[in-house]
Amino acid sequence: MSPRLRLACACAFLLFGLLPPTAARADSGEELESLLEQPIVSTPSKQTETAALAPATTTIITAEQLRTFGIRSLDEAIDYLSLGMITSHPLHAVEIGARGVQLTADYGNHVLLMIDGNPVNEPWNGTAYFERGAGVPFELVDHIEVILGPGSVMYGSQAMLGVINIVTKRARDFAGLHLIAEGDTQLPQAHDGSIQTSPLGAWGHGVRGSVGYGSTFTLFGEPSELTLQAEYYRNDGPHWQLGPQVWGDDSITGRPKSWGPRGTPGTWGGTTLDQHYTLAPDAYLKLQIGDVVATLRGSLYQRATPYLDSIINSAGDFDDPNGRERDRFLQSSVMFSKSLSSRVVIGSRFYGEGYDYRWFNNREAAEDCPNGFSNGCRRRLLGEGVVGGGDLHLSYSIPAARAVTLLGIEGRVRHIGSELQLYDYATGSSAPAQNHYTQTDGLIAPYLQQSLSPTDWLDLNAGLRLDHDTRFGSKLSPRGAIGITPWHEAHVKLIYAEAFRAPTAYELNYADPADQVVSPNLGPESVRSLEASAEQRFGMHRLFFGVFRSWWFDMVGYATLDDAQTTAAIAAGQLAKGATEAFRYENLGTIDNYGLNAGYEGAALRRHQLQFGVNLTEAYTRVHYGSDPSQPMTVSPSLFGNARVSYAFGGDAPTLGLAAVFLAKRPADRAYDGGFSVMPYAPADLELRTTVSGHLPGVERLRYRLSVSFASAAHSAYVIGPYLYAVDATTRAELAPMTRLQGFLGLEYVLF
Amino acid sequence: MERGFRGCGHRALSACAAICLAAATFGLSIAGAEDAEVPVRLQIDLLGRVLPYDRNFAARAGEELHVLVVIKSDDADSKRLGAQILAELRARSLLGQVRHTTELVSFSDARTLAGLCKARRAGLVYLSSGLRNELPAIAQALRGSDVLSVATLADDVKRGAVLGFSASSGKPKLLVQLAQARSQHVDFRADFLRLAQVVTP
Repeated sequence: MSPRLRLACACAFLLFGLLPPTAARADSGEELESLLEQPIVSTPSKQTETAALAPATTTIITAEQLRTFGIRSLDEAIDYLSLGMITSHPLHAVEIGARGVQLTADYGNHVLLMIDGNPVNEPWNGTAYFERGAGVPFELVDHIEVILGPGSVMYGSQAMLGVINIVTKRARDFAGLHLIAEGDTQLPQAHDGSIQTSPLGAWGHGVRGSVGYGSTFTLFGEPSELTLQAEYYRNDGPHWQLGPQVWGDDSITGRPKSWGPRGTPGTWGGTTLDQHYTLAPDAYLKLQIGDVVATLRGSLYQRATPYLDSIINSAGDFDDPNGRERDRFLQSSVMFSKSLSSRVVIGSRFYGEGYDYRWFNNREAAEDCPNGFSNGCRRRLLGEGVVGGGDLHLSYSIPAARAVTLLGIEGRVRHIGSELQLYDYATGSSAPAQNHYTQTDGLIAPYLQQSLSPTDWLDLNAGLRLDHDTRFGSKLSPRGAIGITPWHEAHVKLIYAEAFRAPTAYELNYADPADQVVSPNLGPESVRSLEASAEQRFGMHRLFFGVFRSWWFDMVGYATLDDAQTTAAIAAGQLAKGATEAFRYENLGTIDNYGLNAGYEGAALRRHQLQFGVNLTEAYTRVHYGSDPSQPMTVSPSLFGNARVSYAFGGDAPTLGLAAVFLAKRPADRAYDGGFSVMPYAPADLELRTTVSGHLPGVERLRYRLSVSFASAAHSAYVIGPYLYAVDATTRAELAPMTRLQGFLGLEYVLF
Repeated sequence: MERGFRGCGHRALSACAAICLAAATFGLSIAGAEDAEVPVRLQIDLLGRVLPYDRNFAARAGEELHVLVVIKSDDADSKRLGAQILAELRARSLLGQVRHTTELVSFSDARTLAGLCKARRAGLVYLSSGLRNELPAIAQALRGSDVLSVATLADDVKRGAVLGFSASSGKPKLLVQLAQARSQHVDFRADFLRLAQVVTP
């Protein structure tokens, strides 16, 4: 353990140790206010309970906080308001990490994202998006539950870093017809990172229009409610100055390498005009009749990335207006439950999903295309999936012992398909599709959980889930948690949990005759975690401190085929003749991770007009893949946190919110394997956001928000351009630019 | 693949629709399980802190507060939540800093309930779920009595309970119906009303 970690642990334990039980006692009014601040969660154990007693470290982000601090997407909520999680922004879909672990280019598939308890991760690659691509209108959000650590015991695959559940509002909290309009802008920056104010046409700009409706009524004699919202968002990013990176000649044609119609032959870079945008329309509907709840969500997420990087476009034309990714989701569910007796409840959830993904990538350079495409090529990667499933569970409670036994089983069937299409760049003629596959697979997963609170000071929870998945076999996910209330308003927890991520259909089947063969024997990734935490409330104040240790096994990474394997793959037709170096996915990585997190939040003044909070995480993480030496984790900051303060002036006066997020200096994604003479690091970053919100004086139904954000750092932790790896000792890495100064104005009018 | 995708998209839509329709049909054919938005354990903790805000509570409770937990005997949800309320009350020796006794009562009609409150000198009636349709009559019958009626379901406050609990933004909220409170001689202090949401019938 590093000296800094040791010192922080010692200080925290000293602080908690010095808090005598009586010091935490407040008067009756403060005690009531304190209880009213107790977050209620339903995600950690699939039952409603206070966060302090739940078998996981949980952060609640409220709708009020989202509004006060100008939060408009899930990644912003995580960065500015959550404990232990952080996102990185490569100017397209963000990447998410938790407590020092972030797997670059994982498309968010190590976090389970849910909306109203329904998983959002798609079936092909387990992808979840955390920015606009999350596809849920934010005015509908009641609160967000952010659960740190393994969560497979209740939810199966993906829940390795944590589980995020977006809970939408009840109709009573979203009553009427809501009309929403927003506009945003982002300022461009020069190559050196300085912010530019002219020309005006280079500014990024976005618009959002949305309509929502909420109503309660009686249907079939049952109290019923409907909430729905649809939105359209489009943003065209600012113009970016990238490069130049001198590449030289195309190895196939012998001429200066082409970077497309907008590129300079032989040199990558220039000013991007069109290849940075986001288009994200979505809609969400929830209908509740009695205790039957049906949901329907549809979303489209299209975006273009303005540079080459290791995640999306490893090659492609410069500023290609047609280069993009697109995801479409259609998800539905129906949930209901019924009490069979005073002790037994049965419940169920049925769900269906359709998903498709397309990647459009154009390369005029012959050397970036397969043999035979001397004019260059246009690549279209398609992925699709259809899912149907159900979850049946039964709970048996013994109220006198506060004991609840939950027994359930989940079954799911998936149909997946994918292929890579290639077209001649100049003529448009197509070649036979590559890497075409379809597969139908499924899983069945029984689970059992026992919670027990025999006394007021002891809460126990133990669970086990067995996933039998036709993709890889079986996997057990246990969890055990002990909660102790040593004195008034104090809670201590000890939690052990395991989780896994099933190999994705993409990982099992992706191949490229040039350099990659399929990996049919890939197994699941696994994580074990042990954590301890202590929480003390005193009136409106809450102090939290936790330490964690996690061990990650069988992480999927690239393994190089030896000569014999390469020869065999060529003979089997898996690799093209002449292939000299080839790879496949294997379970070859381990991660060792430990650290601490701490948080403090409170309110002051008579009516609690002043509210504040701070979260901090420090982690030590080492990654070890195959025969490579172990190394620190890239992109993920080892020290990060956020802080916020807000003041409500009251009446017609606005609420002022100031939020900040801090990320320490961190190695870029290609820091250790890029071979650069100067190891690339992303600088420490402090992002500040000021938001003013309230009702327009005299117009009670019209609410507004005005927000401005500033980032101190000009670059993020991603190496960009054709030189993702150094070719000689002089090659310097170029890091992706970041949006430094941006703002938005939003209006919401409730029509009736 | 292009054709395959279109087929897949339609299959997805059809599958979603079929699953939803089947589940909804099945779901609507049986009554659902009502659950409290705020965990019962937390409800009782909150109630214990709220009671002293009632100026008449001390006089009403005397040395020992008698609590009636009202359930509907033919409603499994009501019995389940009632059992939880009873267990949580019995797990605490004091409620509102006063000793208390608890009694589980099956609801028959509002007038009988009001009579029972009077006969047992109950200071608090805790209403489980399943009494939605009976709540207006209960509210009417309890007018003029000296008892605090508490609902475990949020919507039941609007229908006639004096106090209840809801959850919003992931936090518990207190709901109070002032007109009904006054009619049952419940007199909350102003500083309590700052913490509660006033509900009108």
